[in-house]
Amino acid sequence: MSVLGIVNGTPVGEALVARLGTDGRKVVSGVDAPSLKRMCAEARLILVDAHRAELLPLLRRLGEYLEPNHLVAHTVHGLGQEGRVSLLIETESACRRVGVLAGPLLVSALRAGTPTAAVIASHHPEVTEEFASALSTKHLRVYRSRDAAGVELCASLTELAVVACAMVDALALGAPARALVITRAVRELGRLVALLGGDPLTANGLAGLGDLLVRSVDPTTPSYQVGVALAKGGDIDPSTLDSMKRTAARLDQLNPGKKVSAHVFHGVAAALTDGVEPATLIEKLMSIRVLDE
Amino acid sequence: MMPLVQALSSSPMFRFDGLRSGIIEEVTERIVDAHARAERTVEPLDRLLNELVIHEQKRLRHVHPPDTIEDKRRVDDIARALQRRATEGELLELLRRQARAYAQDIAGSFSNPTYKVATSVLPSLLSLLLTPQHLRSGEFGLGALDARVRIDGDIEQLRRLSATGVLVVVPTHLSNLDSPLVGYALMRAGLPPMAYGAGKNLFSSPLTSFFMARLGAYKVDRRLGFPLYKEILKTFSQVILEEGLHSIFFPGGTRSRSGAVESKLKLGLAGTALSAYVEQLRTLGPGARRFYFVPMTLNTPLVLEAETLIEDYLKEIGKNRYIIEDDEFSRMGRVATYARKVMTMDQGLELRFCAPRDPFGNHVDADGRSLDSHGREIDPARYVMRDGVVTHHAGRDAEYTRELGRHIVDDFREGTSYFSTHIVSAALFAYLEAEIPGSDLYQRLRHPRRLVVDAAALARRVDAIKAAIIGAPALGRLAQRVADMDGQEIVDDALSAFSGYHTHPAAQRSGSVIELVDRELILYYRNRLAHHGPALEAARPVGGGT
Repeated sequence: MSVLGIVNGTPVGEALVARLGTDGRKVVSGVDAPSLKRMCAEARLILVDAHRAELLPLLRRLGEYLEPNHLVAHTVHGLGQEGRVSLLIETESACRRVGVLAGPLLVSALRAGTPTAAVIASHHPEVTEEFASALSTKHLRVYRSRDAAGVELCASLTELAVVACAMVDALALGAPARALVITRAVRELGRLVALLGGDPLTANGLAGLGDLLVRSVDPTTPSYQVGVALAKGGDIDPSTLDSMKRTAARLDQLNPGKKVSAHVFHGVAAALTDGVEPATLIEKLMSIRVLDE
Repeated sequence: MMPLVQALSSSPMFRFDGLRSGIIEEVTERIVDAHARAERTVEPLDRLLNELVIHEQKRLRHVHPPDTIEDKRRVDDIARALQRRATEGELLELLRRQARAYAQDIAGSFSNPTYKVATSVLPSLLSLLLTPQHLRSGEFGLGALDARVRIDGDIEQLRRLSATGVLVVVPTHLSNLDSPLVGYALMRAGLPPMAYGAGKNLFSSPLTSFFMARLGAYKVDRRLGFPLYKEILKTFSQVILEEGLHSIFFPGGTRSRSGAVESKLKLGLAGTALSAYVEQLRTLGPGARRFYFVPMTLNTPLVLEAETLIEDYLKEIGKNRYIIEDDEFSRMGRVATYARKVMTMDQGLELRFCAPRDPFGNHVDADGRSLDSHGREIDPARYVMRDGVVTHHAGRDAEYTRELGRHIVDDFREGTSYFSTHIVSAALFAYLEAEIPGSDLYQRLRHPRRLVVDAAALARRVDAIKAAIIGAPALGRLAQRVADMDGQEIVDDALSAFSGYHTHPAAQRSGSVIELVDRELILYYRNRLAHHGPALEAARPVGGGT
């Protein structure tokens, strides 16, 4: 069995280390330079789990030790000006075989050992094969995908759809409104993925719909908390808000002139960056001309 | 360091004639081995041969003896063997015979005497043809040509790398004149001759066939699109790379029909360099030769076959007309007119060697060591190792090559030079878009309205495009010829270039206005900037139309 290195920069990474350790996998972890050095010496597979804002300095440290034979995947959410995280890893290191791990990886589920699932996506067959094998246990199923760009985009944009769901909940608009947001968001996500060269069906998978179904009912999810705070007022964690604003700004660049229809996503982006009121946003979404489903 | 003359004469290409029969046998046996192995995951042999029979019988119906009698006999033998359900051993023997025939057809040769003639006499003749005024002054020779062709890049580094490793030159492709241009650039740079795949149709003329067949060209018969032929072609390419023959591949696959810089590359053949590297590592270990990809951009203000290519692009049959045999390249008068036109322009051609990369997309230093983006040395062998063992892995290597292609596209863009014809066409096309809005491309090109643009307004727009090009060096650069020109001078230079070569000029002056004459040509030359967002943004809106 391959040794797996996990750069555990967030609670998700820590929960994965604990779950895989409990399930009998050999894992080395850490975030400081000595740990990263040891990890890269012992493990061929390296999973990078970090907050987007802390990613670049972390990658620069890690890049000192990564070698061409390493396979790297990441769980980083959020879009940024630097472009896709997979490409950033390639730029900051000698690695070429890079992938993304995404899906409803809830800390509570990983810790409790209840059945959960994720998707590992990469163009490189070795990345999907070896990570799927190393991460899958009797409590965690990791599926494979070739659509790295699609999965990466879904993992980041789903957060905006979670904000929309939280707004619906906070405004007590009911289950039909929530179903409306979820189904339209998934359709829009598919269009955005296709725009960037991915497979629109990826939006229906674990990184898109799967993640949205889970996070949109989890009040501990930071993006859910942002949605509630926007609708009801209240404090918002500044780093979470900054990260989401960066994602919103990047969305506007990725879909210039709103080339494809993505009303839910651009609406939430406007709520985050321009202060559009959630009630106004919902009203606006409900007044859009109805077309074929 | 090895002296240049010695380095050139020790080039593996000079040994090619002695290697030829061995290479053909090696290719043949590798093909047979691949299909004889019990654990093979490739297509079943009978299906593979069946496909060959279907394609070949169809092709051979349209060609006539005596050239093809032997071809027909071999194909008929395979067909009969398949019908009577021959044993695997019999099928493998028929495969061996067919593979050998294809490999013989593909394999070019190399003639040292012909190379000497080509490198000493032909440039003078070419120069004379291109610039006949030198006949009077008696100054014909390489010098006349050299003054008009600018060759950029770290030539010294390439010479060093060619002495120890294998160069894989991957140029942009606009014209059938590109192969001789690349050959000329290699010669002038003091780089060794290289093998290259050329469409079999280009061997149809006895003169070109004589030289191509003796200067490292091997034949690629694009009519034979079935899997076995492609497999043989790739194996041939891999074997000659393993023998150390530097190679040229045009990764666009065919001439750019639209005029745009290639963005989608076909790296099937070029990818054989990685297979060759892996095979060398497996057999030779750390002593294996290294392979270096050298992206190259060929930049000209005019393209010989522009009219035919853009017409083909607009008919959306580019893919179907993969082989165009009736274009301007087939008309010697047009070639000579084109050559005179381009070669009377000072620095009218820019040939640029970009920084070399290893097969994984990393840049290399002067000694060929691979470096990551932070300048740290990398051992490229580790990309293809598993538990310390070098392994072939088709899926892995295809992805490496795809990613390499992404870097090559970036290099193509950065290494592209924009001439006045491209810049002015971008401004004129933006004007066309503004004047005939909302139409699709075809309506816009064929709209009956006469369009003219104020010359001064056009010059201002050209200045803006020039500034945008300077501001985005990763997307290309101004050709040296226009670098110091202002907008008005660039417009004049473009109009001068357009006049007198194409059937109709793309644009021409009429008093104080510029008339858009051939909109398809304007589109074609404008497309060189199709990837350049800031320049296209600067191009619109064009004001001052009448």
